[in-house]
Amino acid sequence: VTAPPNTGRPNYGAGAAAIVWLAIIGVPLYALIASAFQTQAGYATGGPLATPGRLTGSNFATVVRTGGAGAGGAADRGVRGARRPDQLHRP
Amino acid sequence: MVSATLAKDRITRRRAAPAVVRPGPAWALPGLVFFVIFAIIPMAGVVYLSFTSWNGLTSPQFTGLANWTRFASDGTIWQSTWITGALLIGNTIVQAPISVLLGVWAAGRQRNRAVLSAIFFLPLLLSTAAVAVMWRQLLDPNFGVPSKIGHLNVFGGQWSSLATLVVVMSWQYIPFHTLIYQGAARSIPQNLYQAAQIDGAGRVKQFTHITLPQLRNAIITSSTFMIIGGLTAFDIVLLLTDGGPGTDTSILPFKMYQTGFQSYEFGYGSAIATFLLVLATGISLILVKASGYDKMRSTMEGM
Repeated sequence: VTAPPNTGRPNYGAGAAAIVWLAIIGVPLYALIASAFQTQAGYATGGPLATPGRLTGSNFATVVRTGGAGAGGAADRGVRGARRPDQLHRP
Repeated sequence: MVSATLAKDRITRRRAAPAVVRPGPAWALPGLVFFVIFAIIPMAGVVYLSFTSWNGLTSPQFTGLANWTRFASDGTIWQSTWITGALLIGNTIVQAPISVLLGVWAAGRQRNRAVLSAIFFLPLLLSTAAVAVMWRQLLDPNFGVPSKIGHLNVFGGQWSSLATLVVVMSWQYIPFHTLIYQGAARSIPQNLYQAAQIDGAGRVKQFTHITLPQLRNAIITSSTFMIIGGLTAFDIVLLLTDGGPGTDTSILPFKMYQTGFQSYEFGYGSAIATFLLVLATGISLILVKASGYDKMRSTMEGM
């Protein structure tokens, strides 16, 4: 049976370093998730790290409705056939 | 009498031991067929194309060494090679030590380490494109974090752009190398540590005298992945810096993509690809030879 090095004493240095690493890994992941629930206006004022004041599902709705052709998507870059969100509801 | 036959039996068995029956070469055939179809033939095609002029539409025209004479006198190639090397060294210096420490740490059986290791693994699950777009937004000079803490533009200069690439690539790939080291650290026999403890070795001495030497093969595996990965990292450069500012982060694979798919000079692009192929193969061979990995010696010898 093999086990890791274990001297019995807790390794406080390693614990502190692990918490620092958790912040390095966690902050970008948090920004990814937080901005997904953030409104456009909220993102513009608060930046990527701001907590969304009011959770919005509109970003997900946009993705479902436009198939990824929402703001900044294919339509904004002039891809032929892709429609901007403001064009979608017009007949 | 009985003991005599037993002894004789044991002697003959010991003599027979070195004659290990190795699997026949036929077993290598399926792997070899795949390797020839998916690696050797495309590589031969690229090498052939490097001697032609091809715009991707008409049939390639054989032009002899024209691409290669142009290659030798092309200053942007040497700039790209230099940038590729700088990125490679930066990535290795940042990733290797952190991966070793995290891997050995994660090899511990404590519950908190198991939970945190699972979180630390997350960046590897995201696609490189998603990671690049996320960091691009995070570091955007107008809307990202820098806009909130003074107007720092990390994409404005060559060194800061290269440093940003190193940070983002490390963020995504350290979990992979950690995994290699975690597995390797867990297979180190515990009695080595017990013996060291009896001899009075502390935590640091145990790490430098047992853990690191025992991780030798893992270090070589991880370094090879790091170097090959660094030489083929293209997507993250395209999405994060787009080779910019100017051509300041245009590494060789990016240069190859631009030459082939934006200037439609597939012949010259293939010359760059061939150069990359030689570079990657050469560095891997040197690594394997210099480290003695090709001798296939186990770290468990004499145990």
